[in-house]
This record gives sequence, C-alpha cells and structure tokens, in this order.
Amino acid sequence: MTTPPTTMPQPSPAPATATPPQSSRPSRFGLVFGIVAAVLSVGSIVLAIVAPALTSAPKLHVPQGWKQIYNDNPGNTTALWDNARGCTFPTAGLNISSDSKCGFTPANGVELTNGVLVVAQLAPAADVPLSQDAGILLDDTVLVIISQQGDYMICRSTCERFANTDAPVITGSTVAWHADAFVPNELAVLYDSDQQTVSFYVNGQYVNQVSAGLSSTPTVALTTSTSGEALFTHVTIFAASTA
Amino acid sequence: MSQQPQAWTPGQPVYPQGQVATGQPYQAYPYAQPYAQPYWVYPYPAMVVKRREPGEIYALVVAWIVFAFGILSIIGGLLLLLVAGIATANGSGDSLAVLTTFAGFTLGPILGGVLAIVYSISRVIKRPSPPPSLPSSLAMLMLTIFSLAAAVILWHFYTSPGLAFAILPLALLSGFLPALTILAYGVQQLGPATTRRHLWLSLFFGATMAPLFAIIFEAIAALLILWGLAIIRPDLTPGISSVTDTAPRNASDAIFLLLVIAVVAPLVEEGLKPLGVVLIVRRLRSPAEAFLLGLAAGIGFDMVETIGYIGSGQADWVSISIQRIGAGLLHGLGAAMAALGWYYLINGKGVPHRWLKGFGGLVYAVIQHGIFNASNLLGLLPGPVGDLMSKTTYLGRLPLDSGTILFFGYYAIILGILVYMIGRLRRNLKTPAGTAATSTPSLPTGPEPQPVAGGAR
Repeated sequence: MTTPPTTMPQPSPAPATATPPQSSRPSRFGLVFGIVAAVLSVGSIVLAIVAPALTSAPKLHVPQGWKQIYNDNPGNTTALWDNARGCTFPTAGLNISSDSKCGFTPANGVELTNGVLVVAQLAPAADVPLSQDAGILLDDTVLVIISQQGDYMICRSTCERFANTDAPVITGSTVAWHADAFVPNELAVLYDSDQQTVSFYVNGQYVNQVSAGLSSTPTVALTTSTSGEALFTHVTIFAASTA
Repeated sequence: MSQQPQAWTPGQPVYPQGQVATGQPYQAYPYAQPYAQPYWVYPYPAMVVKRREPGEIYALVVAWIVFAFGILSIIGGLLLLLVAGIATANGSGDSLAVLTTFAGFTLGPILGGVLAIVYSISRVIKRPSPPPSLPSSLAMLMLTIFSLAAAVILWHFYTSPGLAFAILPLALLSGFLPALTILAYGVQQLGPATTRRHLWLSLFFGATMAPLFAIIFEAIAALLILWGLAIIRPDLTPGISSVTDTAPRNASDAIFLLLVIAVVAPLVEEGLKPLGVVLIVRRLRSPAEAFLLGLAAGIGFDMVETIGYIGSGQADWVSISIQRIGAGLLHGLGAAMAALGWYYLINGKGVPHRWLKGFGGLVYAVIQHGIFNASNLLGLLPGPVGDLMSKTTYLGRLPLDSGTILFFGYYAIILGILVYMIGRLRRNLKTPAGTAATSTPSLPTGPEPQPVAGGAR
C-alpha cells in the first residue's frame, strides 16, 4: 500500500542551499522526562514482581487433613458424573453447554462432609464454539460462575448469570483470569463448614467469598450459563471428612 | 463628575489658558486651535492605542476556551475518580479491565486539565513556549522493549499475576511507551515546527475530548445501523450482544460488525482526533506543525484506547499490549494526515492542488483505519486466509494469534509512510518557528499557506 500521491505536500521552492534543520536535541525537559520514564518503568516492574504477594488473601492451598476424593479427567470416569442433563464426555474431558448441570457422585457411596474443595481445570476457550462460561454448583445452593472475559458471579439458590435475583449476589471481574482464548484456566471453590463461607479462587489466586450455610453433606456439580459452554479437562475434589 | 484641580509642577508646560497639559483629547476643546504650537511639538509621547496583532483576539479566545475546558476536565476527571473509588471499594478493584478504563478516563482529564489551565494562562500573559522536547525515540524504544520483555517473563513465571493495583503501572506503561516512542520520533524530526504548549494540549485533546465524543457518536451510529438492518432484513437482525461476542454468529452479525468497526469507527475517530488542531489551525505556521500536532492528538487517543484493550486481557494483558504495539502508528499517522488535510483546506489558499491535498489527507486517514479494522474480520473468511488468521503463534508459551503477524506487517507499512511524510515535511521546515512573544514568526516560503498571526502561540 502506498500513500495517495495527492496527499503529499509539494516541496516549497527552497533555495538549493537550504538544509534541513538538525534534529532537536532533548532539552532539560526531555532529559527529565526520560529519567522519570525510566524510573517509572523500573518501579512498575518491581511492583509487578511482588504483586502476587500483595493480594488480600493467600493463594489456594488444600486445608490440612483434608482427603482427596477425586482427581481425574472426567472423560475417563464418566460413571462418576451424572450425564442425564446433556453432559457429554469427549476425550478432552467433560463438556457442558447451555445451562446444563453435571453432578458428581463419589465412588463407593462416600459422602463429602464438613467442607469441600473443588478444583476444576478448563480447556482454552478456543476449544469450545460458544463463550466459555464455567460454573461450580455446591449443594444446589451456591453457584460460582465465571465468563470467558473474567466476569464472575457468586449467588445463593438458583441464579442466572447477570440476572437480577432476590438472593444476595456478588459480582465482579478478576485479573487472575486468563481472558486469552488460547490459555487454559483453573477455578476452585472452597466451602469451609466451620466458618460457613464459600471462597472462590481463579488460577490459585483468591477472588472473593460469600457466607453460606450448606448441608452437612454438600453435593458438587459442574455447570455453565444459558448461552455458554464449558469443557472441564481435569477435576480434583477434596473433603474435610467422608461418611 | 467633578474634576479635581490639577496642580502645576515645575517644568511642566501649561497651555496659554493656564491649564496643565494632561494629554486630554484636544479635540474636545470647543475652540479652534489656540495654541502657539501644535500639540505634537510637546515633548510628551503621544497617547498611542496599541493595536493587537492580527489574530490575537482569536488566540485569546482560544486560550480562554482552553482554560474553561481545563477546569471542566479536572472536575470531570475528579468525579470519575470518585466513581472509581466507589467501584473499587465495592469489589471491582481486582479487575484490570476496570482499573485501566478508569485510569484512561481520569488520568487524561486531570493531567490534561491542569496543563490546559497552566498553558492557557501562560498564553494569555504571552509567556513564550519553547519547542517541544522528548527523550530520543531510541531511548523510548529501549524502555518499551525493556518493559514488555519484563512483562512477558513475569507472565511465564506467574499463573496468576497478583494484586491488580500492583500490575496497573506496568500495564499502563506497556500501552504508553510504544505510543510515546512514535511521538518522540515525530518531535525529534519536526519539533522546531511547533511549541511545547501546542503539542501537549493537542495530545491531551486526543486523550480526552476525542475518545469521549467517539464513544458517544459510535454508540449512536451502531444503534442506527441496528435499526436500519432491522428494517432491511428483519429475518437477520443482530443483537447488541453481537458487538461483544467473541465471534459473529451469522452473516448479519458480520455485516453489522464490518459496518461498525470498518466504516463508522474510522469516520468518527479520524474526524474527531484532529479537531483540537482544527481549532487553532489558522495560527499554525506550516504543514509540518499541523502534521506534528495531529500526530500528538492521535497518540493521545491511542494511549487511552490501548490501555482499555490491555485491561480486557486481565491476566493475559501482555499479549494485547504486544498486539497493540503499533496502534500508535495507526492512530498517530491517521490523525496527522487528517490534520494536514484540514491545514490545506483552511489555510491553503494559493497552494497548488489545495483541495486534492486537503481531502486526500482526510480520505487517507479514514481508509488506513478502515483497512486495519476490517482486517480483524479476516478470520471469518473461509479458506486459507481464515485458517491462517485462526492459528496461534507462541512467544515462549505466550500465545499470540496469527493476526498479530498481519498487524505487524501493516504497522511496518504505516511506519514507512510516517517516515516518508516526516522526511518530506522536514525538508520544508526552514527555520525553527520563533516562540518569543514578540518575535516575528518565520514563515514558510513558497506556495505554502501562512498563519493568521504570529506572536506567542
């Protein structure tokens, strides 16, 4: 592509001896500007290096003494996931679309008691045709759901993403989310029965929490939004104790 | 009104009637010339009404308008800062998208408002403004590479970046530094053509008023297009959600997107960015000055737009900052060419091919922008082009879509045109434009248009 010749200003009939002006050297202002820019750059980099240590809550860790109940690709353990409501199991994992819900059934009739931690890994959003909105539903009561852009919602009882509900709702968006369609994400939900709180983590970073009293044996389900889709590639579930 | 008796002082001449000479308007005396000598023989300087330089009133009016807008800008910025504080307190402080948006719409108005007040007052009191100065473009380029490299390395080390407030400065700099590198190049080459006052005010116009009006006009235009499509093809009416969806769902969505991003956005943005230059175009001394001020306005616009995009990447903000590294070229050269076009249209009396040059600059800006925006939809095309655009390339483990390579090629072309244009304009730049309040401006020679007035600018 070239610049249209019509836009070129005609050179003025300058004398042949005329020489172009020399480049303007940075004045004191330019020098100060450069020094400030350099200092700001270094300072910003240092700040970004320590940024993970400055979050309001520590990174996700499994509470001491909790037992690992499940740790697998759901696509390999289809029997443990309720596929009655439109969940499919491609080799990559567990695919849910359009408001479906896939409940987890622990092996050997075990029940999760006194708290539960669900860590779910997602495929890159580019792997699903719809917008990847992934959610974790605890005890059919507390829903934690996040959109492909990193906007999340935590609500009690049944709620639709971005819909107004009577139940208290927490919404926001988080810097911890990889909004790039080619980068996978991990979301985690921790129910602490002692403190009666549900905490939400993205890629190991604490995001938010809501107080909620669940049953003593909360159920676990994976879900998505009405217009979205989610491909869970790996799920790990811990419980404080089992019954 | 009673008149105080005037005392005679030794040495002071008196009129034959015994009145003290005071410089009163002699014509008011009801009698014919009674003096022995005409009044101008007296050794007192005649009372001279100092005439303003041509265009001085115009410059003062502009200065006061800038002053008023500076105050409004600060008030608006502070109000937005208050909203940002409330939003942050309510849990939005963890979102880089929210923080960068607020940063763009508060930093610009507050800083720009302060500069507008300072510079307009300095103009009113005729304080001269020196030519602009920035660090060398090479130094700015090194800082850009340094910051982006650090961001890429950090992305590889941290799965999640941490506190959003702590990442914000680096994210902002990753958007600002590439743009300032381009501006530094322009200033390095054409700086003597203008003043620091004009350059920074132009940049902040591009960073405040232009995006504000662009948002409003583009939203109105998008709604009108939706309305039009609903009338023409009710069976294929797209929804508002189409604008924010990751991909168009059908042909109607694609047409809608094409119209909005490749037609409306270029027309609106290239129309608005140089308006600050148009406001003072009658006082500009050369095409080079118009070009440089347009470049500054485009850079200002790009800084606000780019940091908004960068924030939307959240943890992956660095990949967007890499993809947008040359957006300052797009916006900068576009606004520069448009400003040059306006310069010829308004000041170009007597310039050969005036209308062609004027409208050529404006059309170039719109077409350049339209091509860039339309290329975003190439991924929708079937066949090899669409396949290529849908692929991913990696910088380490950091994914970049293949469209980035296309954008980089386009940036290279725009950079070539920018260098060429600056070279042409620089050759026409005879001498540094005087900046002293009382200096006679050095005017371009030949058929180039001349400014309305000199004096402090």
